Amino acid sequence: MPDNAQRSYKVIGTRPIRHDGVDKVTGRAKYGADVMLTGLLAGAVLRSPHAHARIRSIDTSAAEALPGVRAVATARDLPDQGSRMVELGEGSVNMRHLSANVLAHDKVLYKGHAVAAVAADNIHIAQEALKLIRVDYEPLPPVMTVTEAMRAGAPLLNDDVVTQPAGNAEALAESKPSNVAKHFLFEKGNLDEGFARAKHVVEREFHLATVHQGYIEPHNATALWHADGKVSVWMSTQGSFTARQQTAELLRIPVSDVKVTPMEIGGGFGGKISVYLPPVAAILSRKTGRPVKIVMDRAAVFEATGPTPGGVIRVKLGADESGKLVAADAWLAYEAGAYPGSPVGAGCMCIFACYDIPNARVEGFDVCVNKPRTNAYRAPGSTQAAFAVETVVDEICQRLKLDPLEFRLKNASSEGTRRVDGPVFSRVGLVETLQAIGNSEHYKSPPGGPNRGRGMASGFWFNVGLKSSVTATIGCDGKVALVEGSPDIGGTRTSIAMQFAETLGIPVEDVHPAVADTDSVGYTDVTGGSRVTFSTGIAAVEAARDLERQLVSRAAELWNVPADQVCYTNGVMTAPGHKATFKELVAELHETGEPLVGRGTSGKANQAGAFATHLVDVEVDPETGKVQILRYTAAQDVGTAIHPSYVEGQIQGGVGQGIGWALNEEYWYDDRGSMRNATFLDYRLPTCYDLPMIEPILVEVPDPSHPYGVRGVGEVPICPPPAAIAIAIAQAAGVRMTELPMAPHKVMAAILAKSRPGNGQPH
Amino acid sequence: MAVVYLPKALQMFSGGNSPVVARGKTVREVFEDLDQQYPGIRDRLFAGSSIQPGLMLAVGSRMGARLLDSVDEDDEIHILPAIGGG
Amino acid sequence: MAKKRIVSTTINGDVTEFLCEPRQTLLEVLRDTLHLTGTKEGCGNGNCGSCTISMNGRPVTSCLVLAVEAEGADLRTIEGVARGSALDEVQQAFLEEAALQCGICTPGFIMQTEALLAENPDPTEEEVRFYLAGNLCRCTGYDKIVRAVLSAARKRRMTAEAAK
Ligand code: FES
Ligand code: FES
Repeated sequence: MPDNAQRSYKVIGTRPIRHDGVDKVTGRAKYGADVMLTGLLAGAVLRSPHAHARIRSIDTSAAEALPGVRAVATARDLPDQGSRMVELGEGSVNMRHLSANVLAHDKVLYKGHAVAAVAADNIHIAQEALKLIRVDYEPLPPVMTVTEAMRAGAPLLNDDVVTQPAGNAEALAESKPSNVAKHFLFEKGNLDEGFARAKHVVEREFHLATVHQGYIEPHNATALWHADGKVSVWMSTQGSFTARQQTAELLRIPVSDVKVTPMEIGGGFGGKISVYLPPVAAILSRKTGRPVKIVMDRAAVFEATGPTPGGVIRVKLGADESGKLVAADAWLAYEAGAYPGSPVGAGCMCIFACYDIPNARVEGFDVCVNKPRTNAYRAPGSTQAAFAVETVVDEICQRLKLDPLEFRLKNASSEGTRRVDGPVFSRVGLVETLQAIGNSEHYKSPPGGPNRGRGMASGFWFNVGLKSSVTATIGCDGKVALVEGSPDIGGTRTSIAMQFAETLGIPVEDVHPAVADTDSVGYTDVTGGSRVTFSTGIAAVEAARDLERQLVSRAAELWNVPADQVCYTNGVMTAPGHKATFKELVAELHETGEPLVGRGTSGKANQAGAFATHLVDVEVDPETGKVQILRYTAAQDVGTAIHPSYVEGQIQGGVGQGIGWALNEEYWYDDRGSMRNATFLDYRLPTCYDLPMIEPILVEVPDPSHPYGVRGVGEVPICPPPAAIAIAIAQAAGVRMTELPMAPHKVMAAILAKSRPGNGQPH
Repeated sequence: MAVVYLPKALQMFSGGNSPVVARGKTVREVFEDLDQQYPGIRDRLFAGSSIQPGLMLAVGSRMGARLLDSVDEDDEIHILPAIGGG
Repeated sequence: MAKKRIVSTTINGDVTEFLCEPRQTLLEVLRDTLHLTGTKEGCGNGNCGSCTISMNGRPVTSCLVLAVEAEGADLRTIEGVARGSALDEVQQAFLEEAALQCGICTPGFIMQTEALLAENPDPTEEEVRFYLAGNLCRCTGYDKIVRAVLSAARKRRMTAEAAK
């Protein structure tokens, strides 16, 4: 399929109106919080006021006695998990930890940790009842940073966590509990020799704040425990099948006894994969015999879900005289939150992925701290890494007086480059994104004006493959009902339908895509990892091919000609002496035979990875330290763009989040480990007044592992912005920012430190 | 012979060596051959039909390979930490 | 529990009465009592704009309005924007410009845009960004939303011109 780029398509590359659009602009689309059922009760969750405490006892009697309260649940109602690890689609999870995160067992590990839940006739009664629950806590000292948590003698969060070592046998023998859950180590070439050859070496340490995915729709779930023991769940989730499995495993009931109906979802970005509410709602439903709906409030969303890790990264790079990178060393410690599982492994694998470096070492640590258990957020682990490495790259360029674009082109990874974690890249398009930036209008027009600067940065994300299923039924009028299992967060119903329509040679408007519940479609992994348009797309293409085969053999039968003389192209079936359009044929087949149902699955193909290079102009206010984004251009290797508008939208959205991460967003904790800014007023997402238009440049280097060359596009655009902005600030204000977010007070402090006499900017 | 890149944590089985070579037509066969050479390593790689939790395999540049995937002569096999997407 | 009150309003042109407790917000009553779930809740404290509706011709965040305050008010929600089964210019422009991804913010943006265009039929990009700054969208980076608003304004002006 190397001819992807040259092929001309009828549907792919066009911009049809999305199939679910009308319902979403008229308010008819049903999201999780919109679920209404007969006899519905309202659930509410009691959350810990302490960041770290032992639970001595919980007394729920007063709450239970309140009129209108129907049931109260605590961790005692959850079955014991032993120490099982269960594979949940995108990775395996320690069930004891997952269960304790859903309702705290004997300890609370972060402020906001769920402790008990109530079902009542309405939400106000449920909330009053929460106040009547008496929890006796023994407060423990909170551990809020990786540095504290890794210190010998630090208070321990989990006594069942020991460091899983990266290397030597002595470490393996060590089985003392620790806050460090995992240690990674990757090596390539010979680091010492590499640095010995380096002419210029730059080393920096970076500090990163905890941030949230910030989806606008809070988590929600409605559960009904039927009298026959089956459980129905309606919820907002990125993956109905993993939600089903998590719920079933947490309740220890057979997986197929749970049916999850994915409602429309108001954003996820990685944060709506792990399950919080369904098991709790299910227990309350079992106790009451009625459906129970729980919707988190915004404070709970911040305090108990999401975040993506803060931490510390050290990067050291060495380049030779000619500007070739010869050695690279990185050390990463990411917050796991309450339970192990930060994306530091991915961070380690991404940190040097943009560069072809002969000698490198990367070491990573997954560290438990008293914050909510971290979750995936768009290219998990990679944005932090890109901020660190790209900043150091820029400093090397500055030292060598080399143009950052030329430097990157000289050192860029390409097909055949061996990464520090081992594998060799197949066809990837980093160089093309660099060239696209170099050729852009933006690059050619200097930012101009005082206090202005420009930054460039690249980023990498893997993109995953995983499994999807699709079924397609042709109606008597030649329209197709396409059933898929991928919750649609950003227009994927349409990008999947387009691939199906292209393959079958029919208009995309004639395809009616629907996202089904877990009983109504084959197994499908999460909407995440930039995989849906790729992998569910392959399943849809397979379903179309399956139908095409059926059409050909049925036409042969109908026309009484050998099947090998029947040919189907561009929606027209021909055979010697016969010709019929898709619709004509289908009408006839409907009269004469069995229904036409196609199926397709995917699961073998894996993606080649995505690269992006961004260019940004900023202006720094020397009086306040405020950074204004003046112009933003994002070039990305998008493989084949199926629906260019939604590809652009993914890029613009990722950039918007990256800008927020760079400039504003952070969890503010007081010394008791309590988050002080758990509202959208104080945890400030970028508004439209903060951002300029974001210009995407779609570079199309088809991924050979997809029939149309699709490459996942959703995640990598969040990687470069913090780095690109930091570099632009360095140019505008002469200060190197090594801490996120680069909020006005921090930029101002750096500017003041620089201008203090005898106190040159340290970096 | 497939070339298997061992992560640091498994190099104690191979006396610190990586990559090592092993024979097999599928990933599983390669790992079984590896276990002949380095007894005990099998249990750190997979149990039954599934890869050990927290690990991800790559055959050549194909990330997310499975035990039954075929392995060609000279293919590289990488044992990596599992990653999740957003 | 305080006594319930009867509140009379007009919603999307229909005279509507409802029973509510004094502590209930207008958002809660719209969604839970009247089942007008097109109005969304993103934060519950006035910071995200998802719950924006029109109250006596002005945009309000309905999570900050008590239901009893709606006595006698003329309310319009996202359900009342389309003319019968025909989308209005703002809705159409949001679709054409791909100005929504997950769509949870969309009703709020459309209501705020309706208010903007009623006040200022020919806004500049800067004015659009300023007027919509109280509505959060986490998916789109706002680019296509701003374009959709500008395009809807253009269309509406053209229609108005043609009608003259
Ligand atoms: S829900 Fe009303 S402003 Fe957010
Ligand atoms: S489209 Fe998802 S929040 Fe705006």
